[in-house]
Amino acid sequence: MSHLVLEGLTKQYGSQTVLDRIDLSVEKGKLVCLLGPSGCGKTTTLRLVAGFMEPSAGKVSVGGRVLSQPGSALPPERRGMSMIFQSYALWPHMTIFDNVAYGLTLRKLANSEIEGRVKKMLGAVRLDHLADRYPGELSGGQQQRVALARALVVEPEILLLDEPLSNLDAALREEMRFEVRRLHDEFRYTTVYVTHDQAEAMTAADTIVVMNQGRIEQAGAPEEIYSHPRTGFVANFLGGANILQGRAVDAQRLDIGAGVLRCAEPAFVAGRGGALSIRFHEINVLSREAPDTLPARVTRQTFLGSTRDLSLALADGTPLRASAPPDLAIPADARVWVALPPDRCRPVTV
Amino acid sequence: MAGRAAGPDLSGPVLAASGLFLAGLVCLPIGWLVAYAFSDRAGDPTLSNFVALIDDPTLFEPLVTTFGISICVAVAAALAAAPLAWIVARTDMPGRRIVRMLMTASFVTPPFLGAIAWEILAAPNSGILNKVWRDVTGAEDALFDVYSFAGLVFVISCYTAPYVFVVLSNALDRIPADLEDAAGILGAGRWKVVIGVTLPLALPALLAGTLVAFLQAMTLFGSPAILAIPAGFHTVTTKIYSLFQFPPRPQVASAAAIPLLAVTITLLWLQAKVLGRRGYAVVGGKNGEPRLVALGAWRWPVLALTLATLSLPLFLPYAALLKAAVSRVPSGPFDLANLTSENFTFVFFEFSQTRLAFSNTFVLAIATATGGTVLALLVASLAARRGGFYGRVLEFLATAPIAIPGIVLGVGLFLAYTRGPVVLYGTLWILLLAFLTIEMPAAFQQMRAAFRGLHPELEEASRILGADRLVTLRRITAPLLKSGVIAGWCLIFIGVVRELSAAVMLSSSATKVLSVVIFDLNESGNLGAIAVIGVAMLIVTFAVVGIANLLSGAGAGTRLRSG
Repeated sequence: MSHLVLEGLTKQYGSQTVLDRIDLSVEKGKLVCLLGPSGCGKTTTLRLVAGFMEPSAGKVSVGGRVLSQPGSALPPERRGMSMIFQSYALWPHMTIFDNVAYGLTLRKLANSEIEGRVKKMLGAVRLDHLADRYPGELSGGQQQRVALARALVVEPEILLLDEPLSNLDAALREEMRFEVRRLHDEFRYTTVYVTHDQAEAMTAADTIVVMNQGRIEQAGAPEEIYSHPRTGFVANFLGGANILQGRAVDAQRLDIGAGVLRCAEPAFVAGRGGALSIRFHEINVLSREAPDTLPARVTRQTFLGSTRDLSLALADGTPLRASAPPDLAIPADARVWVALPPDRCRPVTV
Repeated sequence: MAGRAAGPDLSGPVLAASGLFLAGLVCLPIGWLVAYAFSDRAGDPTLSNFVALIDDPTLFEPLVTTFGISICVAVAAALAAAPLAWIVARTDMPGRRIVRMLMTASFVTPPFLGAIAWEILAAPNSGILNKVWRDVTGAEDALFDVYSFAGLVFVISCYTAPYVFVVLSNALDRIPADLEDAAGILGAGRWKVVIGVTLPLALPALLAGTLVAFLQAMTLFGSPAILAIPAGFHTVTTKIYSLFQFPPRPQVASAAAIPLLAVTITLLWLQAKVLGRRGYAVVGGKNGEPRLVALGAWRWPVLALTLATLSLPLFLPYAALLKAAVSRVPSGPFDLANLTSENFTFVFFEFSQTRLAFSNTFVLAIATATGGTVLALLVASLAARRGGFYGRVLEFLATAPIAIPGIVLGVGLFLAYTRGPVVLYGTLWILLLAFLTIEMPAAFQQMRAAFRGLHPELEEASRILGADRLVTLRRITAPLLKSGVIAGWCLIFIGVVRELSAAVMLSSSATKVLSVVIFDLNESGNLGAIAVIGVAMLIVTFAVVGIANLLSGAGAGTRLRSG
């Protein structure tokens, strides 16, 4: 059953549309990731859900009740939601305990209950020994966990996370990715998670929603989105891909100028333009000619340890990137042949 | 299901109420002022008041004089303050921190008190400096005559130069060293860097400070009333004041106030237009410590020159006031025969107005500072966090009084509240309204700056956890803004204590404040009593400000306590 529903959600500032008719429904207890580059509208979506903004059109509803629509938005404090902010937004004048207890004191609970719940929650994020400290005395990762505890302790109907890990260093970020997922598995709050980091999205999300220029490009389970990107943008943003454009010969074949490529899946209309995506590691680089290959020239090669990154140019100059096994040593300017397997060539729209 | 915080969102009504209140603060007096300016005695619409302003030389000359004084003061203040600001901010002169502190402290000196001190120092016959000059040289004539155009310009400059100084030295602090280094690396010598890079970068601040000096000089009432009237000329402010003396001509006075208002608004608008965008764009950012220029052998002469400059607004006047406080004759010789405690006895035990004026002043100052802080806090929070059209309207309303000279506001409030439905003249309320209006822009700017340093997510985190705007303000925003709030409170407090131009229009015998009492005592020539009151006033002011800062310090202490 859909719990959080966005229908035709739109936000405009004057003539500028930052969010364009977003439709999305999130089932209860699921974690959905809004993934996209900065300026794609993901944070705007989150702030509209939180009630910090009012939509220009469309609506936000939770459990069948409309919370936001143009001209009427329930204020954030009455939505029963929690949010974790990019800056953590821990209050520097309160102890860790007081920070976490804040939401409970607003709900007028008995002191003994507040204390019990805060201690339990601090235990869940493994910070019970730091309850009397001030935020300024904690490391970034600890602050992050306080922010999580503060948001979870009020048992929110919906949990919102706005780039929660972007201020952490790489190692800590990886650790916290799993922490977020672990806590989600433990508490099962309906969660909307905003990030521009695909690894975060892949680790944490039940559903990934890829956004670009104020619109949803594609939504689905991480694996599905990765293996079946519908648009060039999605293919490129999630994992990186070559996007090759050309003219369709028939439903399955695309003439890209340097040659004709075949897709396993029929999607083209003969004579019309079309595009396909293929991931870097799905291209086979051969040192001699073979059937169904295209000649190419190596323009640059970079040794990356586990792989070798190759920049190639097809006969007509079309650039192509491929990652090859590290032991494949090909000098720059060498002539190679590339095979693009039909089941890896996925038709996309651009 | 999560619990929900109870209570309706009051921010809408609060926004509307504070907006209306601010609008009332500005619009009522200005509305009446304009209405009076365009009507005759019978209340019919007319332009005759403005015709009189141009035709009647006793009305037109003050306009010209005021303009002249303002230009001279602006130039003098800039010339005096600019080198000083540079020396303090950018050289290794010894004691520059103390110099900066003293310069900032001279803000606290009410300009009218400074003017009176300079009367004691440089009145043509009895002035101490002139007496010394005559004794030393045997000359007949006075060296200085403070009762003159030049004397007035000098005294006003003494107390407007600190504005230029503060604005400029703060800007110089923030000019990134790498901009200067860039010029240095390209081969520019030290002085070339100063003239070619530092000065142009600081120019917007210098202009802004000079503009403030100009506006101050134009709208000041105390100093010209004390120095120009005995010299036989008027400025616009003193003319407006005299038009309210018997027989009162409020219509003409209102008309005379309009040019002051118009010039102030125009200049501030121009400043926002010209300097607003470009001015501080470069000056800002965190590019490390500014590079200090080593003065070498010049450091002591430079220090001497600096101290000499400081003696004009600070050392000499205060020495004169202290001497006057304990002397029978303020300018009399330094000997035991002239020493007396009479002035203290008079002020504290005989003079009936002292106690009342002290209590009025400090009641008003505390009330205005508290009320103004709360209001400014509300408005700044709504404007900063709500944004949008209403936010901008509020912001405009809170800053608008900056364009209203004190005397103009005094006239407007006088006109607005001496008639029904609300008669406030003769009560402390009208003074409270006046002071609130006058201090609102500074208080608001202080709070707005504090809010800008506060990450909005800190408040949003509170909102989403179930606190409405007001609870958030009380539990999150206010504690975090505490030190800024207390600084704002002190700013208002000091401002009220030194306010004269509106107070002189609005206070009656039961609602006299210290500044007005001093002004009256000056007319009766009782300089010794003035000195005692002035010094006592400053002591109490410093004590209150000290206590306020102590309170904020204690707060910070508990905040930083840690396990």
